[in-house]
Amino acid sequence: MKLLHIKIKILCLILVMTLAAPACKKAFDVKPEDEVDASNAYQTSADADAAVIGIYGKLLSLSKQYLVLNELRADLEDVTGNADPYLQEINIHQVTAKNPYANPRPFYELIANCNDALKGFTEMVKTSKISVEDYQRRYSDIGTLRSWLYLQLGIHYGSVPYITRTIDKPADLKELSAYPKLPFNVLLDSLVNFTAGLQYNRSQIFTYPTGNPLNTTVDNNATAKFYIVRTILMGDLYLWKGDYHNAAINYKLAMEAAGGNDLGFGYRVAFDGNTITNTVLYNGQDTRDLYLAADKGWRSMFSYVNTNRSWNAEWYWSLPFSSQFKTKNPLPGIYSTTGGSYFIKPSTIIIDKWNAQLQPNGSPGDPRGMMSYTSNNGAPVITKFTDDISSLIGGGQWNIWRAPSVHLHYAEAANRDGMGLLAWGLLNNGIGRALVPAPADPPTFEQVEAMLTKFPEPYLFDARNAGATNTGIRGVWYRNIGIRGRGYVRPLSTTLQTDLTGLENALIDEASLELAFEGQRWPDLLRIAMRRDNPGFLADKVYEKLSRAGNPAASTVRTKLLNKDWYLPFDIYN
Amino acid sequence: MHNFTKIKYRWCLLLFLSAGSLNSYAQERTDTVQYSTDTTTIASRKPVTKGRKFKGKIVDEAGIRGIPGVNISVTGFSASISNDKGEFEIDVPLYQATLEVSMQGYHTKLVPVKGKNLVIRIYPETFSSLFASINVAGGSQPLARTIAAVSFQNGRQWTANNETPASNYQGRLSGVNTIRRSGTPGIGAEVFVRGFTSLYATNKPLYVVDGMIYDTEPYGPSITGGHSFNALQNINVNEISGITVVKDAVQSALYGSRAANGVVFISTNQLPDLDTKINFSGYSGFNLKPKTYPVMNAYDFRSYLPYLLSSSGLSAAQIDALPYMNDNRQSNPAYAENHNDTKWQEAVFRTSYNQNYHLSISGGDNIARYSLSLGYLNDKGVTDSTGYARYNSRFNAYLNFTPKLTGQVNLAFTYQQQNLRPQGLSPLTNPIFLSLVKSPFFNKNQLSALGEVSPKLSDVDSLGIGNPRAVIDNGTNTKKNYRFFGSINFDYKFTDAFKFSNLVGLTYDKTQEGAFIPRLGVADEVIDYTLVDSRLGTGTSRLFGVAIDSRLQYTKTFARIHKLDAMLGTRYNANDSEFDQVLGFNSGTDQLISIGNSNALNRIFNGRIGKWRTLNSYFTGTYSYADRYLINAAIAVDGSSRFGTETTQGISINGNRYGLFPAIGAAWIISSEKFMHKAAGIDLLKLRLSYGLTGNDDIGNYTARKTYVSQNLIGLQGLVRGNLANPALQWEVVKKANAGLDAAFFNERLSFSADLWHHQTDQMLTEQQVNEVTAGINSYVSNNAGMKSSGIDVGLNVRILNTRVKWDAGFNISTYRNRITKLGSAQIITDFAGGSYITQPGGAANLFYGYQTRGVYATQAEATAENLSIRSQNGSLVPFSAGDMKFADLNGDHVIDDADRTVIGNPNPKLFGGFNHSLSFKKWRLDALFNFVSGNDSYNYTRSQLESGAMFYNQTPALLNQWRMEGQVTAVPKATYGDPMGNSRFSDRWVEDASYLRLRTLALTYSLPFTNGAFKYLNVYATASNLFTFSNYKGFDPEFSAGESIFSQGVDTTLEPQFRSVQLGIRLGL
Repeated sequence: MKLLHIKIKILCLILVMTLAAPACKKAFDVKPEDEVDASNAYQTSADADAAVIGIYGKLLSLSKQYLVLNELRADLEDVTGNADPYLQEINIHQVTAKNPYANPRPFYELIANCNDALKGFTEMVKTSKISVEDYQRRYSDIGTLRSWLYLQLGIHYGSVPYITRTIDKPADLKELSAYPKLPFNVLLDSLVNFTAGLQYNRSQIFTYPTGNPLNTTVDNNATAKFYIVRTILMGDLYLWKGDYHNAAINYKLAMEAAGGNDLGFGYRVAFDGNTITNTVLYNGQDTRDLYLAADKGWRSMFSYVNTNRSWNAEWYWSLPFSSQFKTKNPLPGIYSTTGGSYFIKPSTIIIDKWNAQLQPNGSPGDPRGMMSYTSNNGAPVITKFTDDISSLIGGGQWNIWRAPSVHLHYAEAANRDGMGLLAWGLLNNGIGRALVPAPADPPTFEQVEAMLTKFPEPYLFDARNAGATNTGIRGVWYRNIGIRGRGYVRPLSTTLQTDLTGLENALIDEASLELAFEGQRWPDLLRIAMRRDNPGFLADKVYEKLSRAGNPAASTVRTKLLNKDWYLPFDIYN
Repeated sequence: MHNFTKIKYRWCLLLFLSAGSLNSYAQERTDTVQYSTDTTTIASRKPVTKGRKFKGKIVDEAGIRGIPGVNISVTGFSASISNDKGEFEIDVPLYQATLEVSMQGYHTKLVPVKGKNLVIRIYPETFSSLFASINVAGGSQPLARTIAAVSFQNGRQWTANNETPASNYQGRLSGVNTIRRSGTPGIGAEVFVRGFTSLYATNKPLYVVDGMIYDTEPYGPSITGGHSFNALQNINVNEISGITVVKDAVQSALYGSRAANGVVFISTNQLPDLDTKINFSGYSGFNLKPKTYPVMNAYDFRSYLPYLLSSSGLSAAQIDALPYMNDNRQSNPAYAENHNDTKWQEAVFRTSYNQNYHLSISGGDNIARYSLSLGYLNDKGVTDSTGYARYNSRFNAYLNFTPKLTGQVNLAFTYQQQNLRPQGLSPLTNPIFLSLVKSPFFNKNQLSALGEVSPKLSDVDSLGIGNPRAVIDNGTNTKKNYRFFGSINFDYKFTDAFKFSNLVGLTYDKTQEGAFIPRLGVADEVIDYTLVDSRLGTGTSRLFGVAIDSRLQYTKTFARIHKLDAMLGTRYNANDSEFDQVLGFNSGTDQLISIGNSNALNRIFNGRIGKWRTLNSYFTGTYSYADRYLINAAIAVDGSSRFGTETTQGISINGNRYGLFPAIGAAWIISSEKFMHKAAGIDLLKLRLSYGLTGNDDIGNYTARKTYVSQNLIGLQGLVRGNLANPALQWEVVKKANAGLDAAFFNERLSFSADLWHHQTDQMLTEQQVNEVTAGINSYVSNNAGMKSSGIDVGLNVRILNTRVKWDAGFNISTYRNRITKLGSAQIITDFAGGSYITQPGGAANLFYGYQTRGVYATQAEATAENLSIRSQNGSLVPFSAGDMKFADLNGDHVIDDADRTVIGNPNPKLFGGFNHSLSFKKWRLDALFNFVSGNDSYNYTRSQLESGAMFYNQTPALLNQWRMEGQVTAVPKATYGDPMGNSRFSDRWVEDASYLRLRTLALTYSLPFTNGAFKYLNVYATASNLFTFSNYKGFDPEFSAGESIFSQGVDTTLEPQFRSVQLGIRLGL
């Protein structure tokens, strides 16, 4: 048989060689011209940039799933009567096999691209096709993004396989089954190890500094904040791990990221400045007449383009949709009544919470609530995703991280690290007021000095402010007015400064008021429930949402969550 | 004579005693010649003529008149010519031999020497005979000695209108199912040779024109909705002198990985005679307006419409106030424009004309012979303002440079221009569809309040339907195409036995399209957040192909009884295609129709570049013993840039993977056997068997390569992984087995060919779903499926009358069954035109998959009792009520959903074929060709729109029987706007039996008597196409094809229907 095979081979060889002049090795190596052949990829630094752009471009397609999973599973959002059965399943934590929102494939599709790019970058630096510095920036950027994707998978699926190799051909698929599902805490260790080990210039918070080809302006968009911020993800990973000090170190770097013209404004949750206004405003001097439109003040952060200074003082990470190019904004489709199907609405819990807040002038109601949803013929409609009117024609942005999400996480870490006073200040009416609750006008020298925290880093803040008459003494944190201060609601009791659990609860509550619907709620609730080993913290809130909506599944869901059955089903073979 | 027979028997006995060895007396004699060191020409001139005398007579087809001047020969032994009475005498070897009886204009008959004084009838080449000669790879060969299973048609087709090489042979070739795509001139047909062998790769046969592969791929979709490219329209049917379809593996094995669907050999303007001939033909005629589809008139539509309007939420008072409902001229200012009875189909269809002229000149001398032809065709479509014009030229030359070196040149250049209109699934722009669905009470033109008709066309009506005249009058859809297809072939004869040939050829094809759909009279639509009013487009596709085919041929007869025919060759093909298309929207006015005037912001650009190369090495050898036993072995070794580098099959040479395609075939000429000598009346009895592998290389140019594709982030362009490259990707393998019998009886008055065949596709391509969610990719292309088909082809020819009136009848019928043996997934469901196909193991491929209906709920009680519901978008149950369709709840869950779908039809025919009759008497000749298809289902999408009762579309009169009141028993559900219950969903309501029998062509020819003078002949003729069609199909016509894919077969998407045409023509020879 073998001999026969050899004979056939020889015969064929003769057949081919006799007349086949073009039968050289390269004759059949025809490379595509409207796609890039693998042999042509990762050859120049522009190829490396293309890989980064491609991955972030593809990331946009995760936006809807990210928001649905992170909010609808928690207590601030509820389904409307229009919602399809899949969203209803997410809402009551009973997911069937084909539910597209519970499908981890899109995450792994991005992870596979990240793995491919990381391998490509490494090949490039080995063959000196890219400088070490360029390599490190891109490698740590994509590496960080992959860790973020895995963190999301961990949050929603609990145990997932941690795959860092590339899948190049069908034969490789078999090896996937060898990857064990890592429990969430083990996965976190891997992520901390990998992400902390990334080599990069730690003095630069944003990956690509001015002058880098990936930091540019295109189609009226600044690209600088398209990319994930490593130090914030590191803070998150440490916070999930319970390493509060390291979490605080990393968050603090991000909180002080802005420099230059925006010193004092950027990411400081500041009171109004000349051109930067992210505070709740009112018309003229009448504090009862709130300014609720989206063109300035607190709400404008959801409508401004990303070249705007106010926008830049707020957002760390945000990706643009486009009305002109591919990846149209899918978000109005699920939230809006005019531009979409209105599948999801604010829950009565969050509406009541906003209503229960008091403004400093004594008026009831949290202005941020009024600017987060509206009532359309009695039906509450989330507006955060349609404040940018271009979102209704496919544009707008997927906003992921902004200053209060970092401040609140920092405060959470600081509180656990024994810095309740500082955490309280960031939450309520600013570091300066926390240190000096009632300064004279102008403040005394001692008062001004007291506004500089005497704590070692990462808790050293200079909030000194000698007042309008002495502008020479101003620390970089002098404008910080706290999240509640900026949101124009009354500060909470100072007793929380020494009440670790109470303050932690307040921080999580505040995140719901400030960051409602933005994709923070489920991770917040889960993190605290895990940290305190108190599933009721999560279960009761979801139960309350469902029972107040009259959802018959409420008790079942509560029992399920109380049993720490928090995760979506994850079947490798699906 | 008795003596002779005795001796012959003795010799035969001796032959058998020597156990088939070659040690016969006769062979020794020829061997002595073989010792000669000179060329074999000497051997042929000095045959050993020590055989037996044999006498016979050659007579004409009627068996009466002797034919003088006929060549009679025994190859390599003796030759003779018949005398003026047709009688001849020839020496034959002392064992069984075959007489070769040949004469110009007649089939070359092969007659075994048997019996006594033979009377041999020969038939002219126009007669359907098993002694015809067919053109296949490597040249022509006698059908009577062909091992392969073939269907063929020789001779020119002068008489047909609107035919392309694909459609022209419909109903004439057994085993070949031809489905004309539509009635659009030049649109061509789908050709399925013995069913299909693939799901996702091509199912088209390979076309080889004058020895060179003719590329028929469309390189990109047409801008014009519903239109598809037909590369074969570049070939003028008038210039085809023969077509041979090879259906099994034997002859097609040489084309290895491209031969899975059979090989169609087309030869044009074959070797002409030496004397100069000028032929001219011309015809002109009418394409008749198709019969109209029955839709409601204004009166009926107005009585139907209120039901729909009220279900859309309008009150009775609101309905009465609508301008088309208010009949008061005084109070209704829009009375005139809403009170018409327009026959919209009359406004779209027309009777048009066709004309076709063709001139050919041929002749030459011993050194060079040539054939030059020119053609012009103008065929107007039955849709107003559409048409097709073609200019074609062809130059074939046959050159004898030296006795050893000859050459052949085939050059063809064709230019064509088509005016089209959108068809098929273009509900807003297809004028035919619009003419069906537009309410008859509106007018084509704008009307004043007093009813004065403006020359200006009316705009979209108040029901939202566009004006079909707007698309016809103000729209443009043009296609301009040219193709150069040329080759030069050199043959060098080293010896009589050895020949080296080399063919070099080029294909260059370019198609340019332009399209404009006006805003006036065409409904707007929203595309990507843009409100689209006018639509513009331009596109170009281009193909450049190089072909080189070198081969060494060896033909030799040893000792007269051992014949060897071998060929070793290599074929190289390099193809380079490109397709670019721009679609734009919203030009300033309807006068600005070029793409540059579209809004720059939302143009859509499509494009593709495809390059591929193949290298195919092949060997074929046929050994024939005593002209009775023939055996052929062939193998192809194929390499292609498309194949992966790690294929599981084939061999690796120099790092590239090559597929192996062996085939073996044998034939037994039973009629030449001794024991058949006494069987009178058998002219030919031949048994054929073959088995072999063929392949399909249509697996995508770059599918086996890992690639990155463009991914934007706003205006930034990045790259992401494009696929999970499958380096094991390979050709599909189709194993073909065939058993056939060819027989001719009673001096060829009756002949037939029957074939039993079996195809097995292995390594069939489908999309393999990736189960691992962690893979980061959902699917990849894989050779993971399999399919089987088997069937029977039968062809029969009878000369019924053989007197002064000659009546020939031909009949062919074919059937096949198909079964999926393996799939990478449990099932494949594909959607097309709102319908679905299912393909799953154990069943046939592409079956219609939808809902079963059981009538309409007459009463609410009936609906309540059945308690069936649908699930709405938010998951709640909505029950069916009186007047809704009753759908079968197959899984018994009381919810009608996807899980209740089942197989409701099969678009594959059970039987197909054709029959023809040809009657001639004196100077008259009448030809009739019928074709039929039986047992095929079609999804009548058009009717599903015309009887849905869901939109403000005009409907068929069936809707007058819609359910209106409690207790009404009817088959038509209530009309409800938007059809919330899905009553018009894809169900057996829309699946119809599309069997038909058609009088395809009818031709009457009269040859004017010219005994001398300038004319060689002058014929006048009248033809009619598609004269009668017998079918129960309810659409325009039961024959259509919406696309090449098998997953679009049998769907009636409102294409231009087939039409009748009548022509009057002349043919003359100078």
